[in-house]
Amino acid sequence: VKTLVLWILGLLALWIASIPLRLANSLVVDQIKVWLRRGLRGLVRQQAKRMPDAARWEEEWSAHVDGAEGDLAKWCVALPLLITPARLSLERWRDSDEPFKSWAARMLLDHGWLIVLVTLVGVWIQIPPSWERSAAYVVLLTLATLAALFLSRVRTRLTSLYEDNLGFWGRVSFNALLVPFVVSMTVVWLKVPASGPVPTRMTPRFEHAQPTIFYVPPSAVAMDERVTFTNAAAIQTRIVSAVPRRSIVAVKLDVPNKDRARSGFPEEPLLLSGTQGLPAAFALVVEALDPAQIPGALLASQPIPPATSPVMPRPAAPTNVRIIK
Amino acid sequence: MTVLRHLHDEPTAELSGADVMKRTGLGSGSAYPILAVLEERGLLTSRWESETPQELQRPRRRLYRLTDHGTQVFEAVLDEMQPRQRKLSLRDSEA
Repeated sequence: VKTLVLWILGLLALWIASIPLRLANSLVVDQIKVWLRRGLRGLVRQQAKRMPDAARWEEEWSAHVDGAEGDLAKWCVALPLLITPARLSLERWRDSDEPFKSWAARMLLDHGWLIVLVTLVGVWIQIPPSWERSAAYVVLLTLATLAALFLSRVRTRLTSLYEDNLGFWGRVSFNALLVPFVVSMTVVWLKVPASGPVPTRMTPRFEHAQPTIFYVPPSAVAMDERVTFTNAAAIQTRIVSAVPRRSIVAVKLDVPNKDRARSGFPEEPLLLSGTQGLPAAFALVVEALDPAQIPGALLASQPIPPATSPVMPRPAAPTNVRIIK
Repeated sequence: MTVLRHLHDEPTAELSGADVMKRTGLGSGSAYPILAVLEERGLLTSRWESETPQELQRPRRRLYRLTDHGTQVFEAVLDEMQPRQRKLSLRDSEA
């Protein structure tokens, strides 16, 4: 009986405790709704200010937004108003006497979303960045756009179709060029191994490469000091400056007798902070695709022989702290 | 053309921006610039609802109507359209 009473009392206590929580919750929800509606009004007002007759558009749009059922529907009506003033300018621009302006406006109006999409895809497939590939992508994209514009115009002249249909045909020609273009560029970027200069960032597509591995004594980069928390960053910087970025696949520090976490390079101080207090007599191992790119100081070192070779044994029980450039 | 066609199909009716959006399927970001441009060109005319917001219990709406010039332009464009396009347009309006 005592347990039952305690249980009921506990339930009552929970229920009583929930009252202020529910009140607070409803207050918060109400407040958020107030903020949202205030935001809606502000959005409508701001967009109306960008229109020729601000007072008229504000009243008209406010009536439209108010007529929508529910907060979500109101936002669905209000958010597209963000592009309305720009779209009105474009519509006027399309009426310009200059043919180029009308074509450009038509392209932006009919294919604006597609242009934005292709641009985003273009940015995405160019990570990691490479000037050559970026330039090629921009050139090809420009050519495709010009070709689509040209086809659109030719189609217009040939068929004498009217405005509504021009958008359709323009879209067809544009897509017919862009889809294979984007697909092929994506395939090229993802599948074809890079040729020419090695990018500064190591990516999966370079993993199959077989770099020459150099084992560089500390003296080559003047690292004859103790690594501490305070000078770790300076030593990192020195290592970076000692090797040419574009020729290096990876730089590893061999620190004897210590396990070190792998870390990015050169931004992450974690890399050397784990080695603080250790003697800096670690070795620098450089993996390079093109040995000819290695500067004189590093060329003085010898390529690392196979593990069975006695020519240049590695330090006892080394553990790599890897610096990936 | 879509906006004009819907207004042409109901010559006596006056449509608000929301009505135009519902009938044409256009978003507010597209419908209002089109209405503004058509009005600037004199193809449409618009007016506020005659009742006051107090009477309506809501904000006044702006109502759009095709002008005589707009009707002439729309019909001229329809006449110039290729037979197939015209047929399609009429079939849509009948539907």
